[in-house]
Amino acid sequence: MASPFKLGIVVACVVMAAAVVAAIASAGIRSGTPQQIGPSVAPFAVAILLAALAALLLLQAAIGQWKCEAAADDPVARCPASTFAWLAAGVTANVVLIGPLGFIPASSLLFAATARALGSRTLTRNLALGAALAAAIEFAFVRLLGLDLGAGMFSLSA
Amino acid sequence: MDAFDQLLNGFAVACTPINLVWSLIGVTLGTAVGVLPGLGPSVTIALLLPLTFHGDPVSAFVCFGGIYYGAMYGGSTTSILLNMPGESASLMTTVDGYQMARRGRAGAALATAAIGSFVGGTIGTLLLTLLAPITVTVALKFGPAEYFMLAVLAFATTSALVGRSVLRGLTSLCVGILIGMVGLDVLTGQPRLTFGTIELLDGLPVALVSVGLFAIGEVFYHALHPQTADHAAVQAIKGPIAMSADDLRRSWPAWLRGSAIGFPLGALPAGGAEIPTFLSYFVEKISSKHKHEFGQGAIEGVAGPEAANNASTAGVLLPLLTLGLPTSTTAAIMLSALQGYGLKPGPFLLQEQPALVWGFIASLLIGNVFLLILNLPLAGLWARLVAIPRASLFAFILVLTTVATYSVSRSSLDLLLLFGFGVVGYLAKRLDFPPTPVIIGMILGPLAEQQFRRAMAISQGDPSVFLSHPLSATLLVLSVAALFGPSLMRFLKKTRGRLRFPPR
Repeated sequence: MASPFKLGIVVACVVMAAAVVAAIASAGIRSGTPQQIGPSVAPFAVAILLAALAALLLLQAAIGQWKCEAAADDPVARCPASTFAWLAAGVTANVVLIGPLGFIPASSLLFAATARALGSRTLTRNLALGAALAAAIEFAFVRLLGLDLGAGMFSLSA
Repeated sequence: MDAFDQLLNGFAVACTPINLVWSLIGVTLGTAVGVLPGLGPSVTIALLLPLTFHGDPVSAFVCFGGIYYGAMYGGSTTSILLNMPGESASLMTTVDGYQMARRGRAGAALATAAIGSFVGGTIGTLLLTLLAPITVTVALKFGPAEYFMLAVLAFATTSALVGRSVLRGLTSLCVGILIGMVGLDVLTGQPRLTFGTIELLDGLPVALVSVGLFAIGEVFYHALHPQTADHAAVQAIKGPIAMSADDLRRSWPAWLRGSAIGFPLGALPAGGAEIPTFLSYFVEKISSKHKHEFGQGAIEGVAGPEAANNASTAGVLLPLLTLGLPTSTTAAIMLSALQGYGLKPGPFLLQEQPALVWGFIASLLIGNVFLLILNLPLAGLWARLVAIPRASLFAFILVLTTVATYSVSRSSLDLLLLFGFGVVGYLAKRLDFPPTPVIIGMILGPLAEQQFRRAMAISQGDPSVFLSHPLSATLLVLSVAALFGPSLMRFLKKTRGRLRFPPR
């Protein structure tokens, strides 16, 4: 018997939890007249099916029959912690700063941090490149195509 | 010929200057995203969704059609020059295409791919023209029970055929259906799965989910696992993009066979363009006189699959336009675009929106000509896109993906959701969950549910209606066969093997 696939067990449990939450939430939807198929039937049925599938996934993970990249655990393919940190930092900065600072600064930070995570070493150059690309996007989408990317402190549209 | 009269009217719509410009924009964008890894036609159309809601639906669909067809052309360039499929549908092209390029025959490979795509796309689109009115006539006889079972069949085939595991395909599908049910119930107006929040009342936008799952998931994957995503050296194009007489003689039967395989398999709910390209490759290999050349740069191995993937693209549009049934991610996103315009997808679309449907089909034929011009002489230009440094490219994609979501709501919460779906997309790739059933389930799930409830209302709550209608029962049998057929066959093979060679 192959060894259990730990990440698979965690994911199967998360899917199971999501299915249970969805089942409880859909059971609470008030139905219309009783003989009709109401709005709660389909989501409840799908949630129950999902719970059953999650149980099978759990079994598959426990007996090590879940064949995928993550289960193969190739030491060469393992990701370095710094890559993950740069990605997480870029995404967090983008989400937090896009409101107060605006699209261009938030996007420059996201661009530079992602490029760093993907192995580019020229951080200052990437910040400038990210700012230029973000300004081009903002110009194209806001000025030419009429979308609204919000204002923030440093916006072309302000 | 009624269909061709209609098509001529379609040309009148598609040939207005503005629509020609949209078609040109679409095919150019499509070729570019086909060449570039990390962005596909579905994500590109999803990114453009918020833009199009201000404009004319015909122009938007002309542009979408160009993107869809263009990506199939562009995908072959990356496959041939880089040994990396720009699109999943051009996976088989890498096998012999890259070998041809290594042997200095990149020009011939690119030429047979571009002309093959043109042949496949044109034959496919003409078949679509012929078959669309016939399919509509049949579809008008369908009741809600048949529509529901048709959706169930699409669910079964996309979950079973796209990924490697039926279990994980079905899990993706159920998650997608539940995501699709978030928001107000269409028939009663009651909020579902919104957990009391106002933000979720409108449901989750398909652009957010698909862009997160596909584009952001892909960027995260490439950043975290650069070694597994490693690719080969870029091959230069030596000589002109052209074929010798011998190349042509070997290519044209493969183009025709590829088109014949691609269109019907695209039209059936079999999950898009991957399966027809695989099948076309193996048909070419089996029927070729040059079997030993396969894997070493056989031109048929490029010609067949490239014609097949474009013909299947046209095939996918048949159920989309006539039944409102999406069978690929891109088709599902186009369906949600139709809904966004307040148009009702289904057999009445052809009668109610002839300008849209026929203008769209005509624009595909025009777009195919544009694409041949864009891709034959200009292949060298597209090949330069392949050389963009990956770090900058993927970082740019990530920035671009935030635009479509943020411009709609200007809410950081939506951005957080977008990146959250990115993490889910990344995990799905690592854990081998296919993402396509999520999108199909999300779009088609609520539509299937409406048909189910309608069928049950008509039969006054008697579920046997799904079995007593012969067509509906047939579709149910086919769905069960798609789900359990492959594993049953494997089991039978195993047991028969055991019977023949009893262990001593």
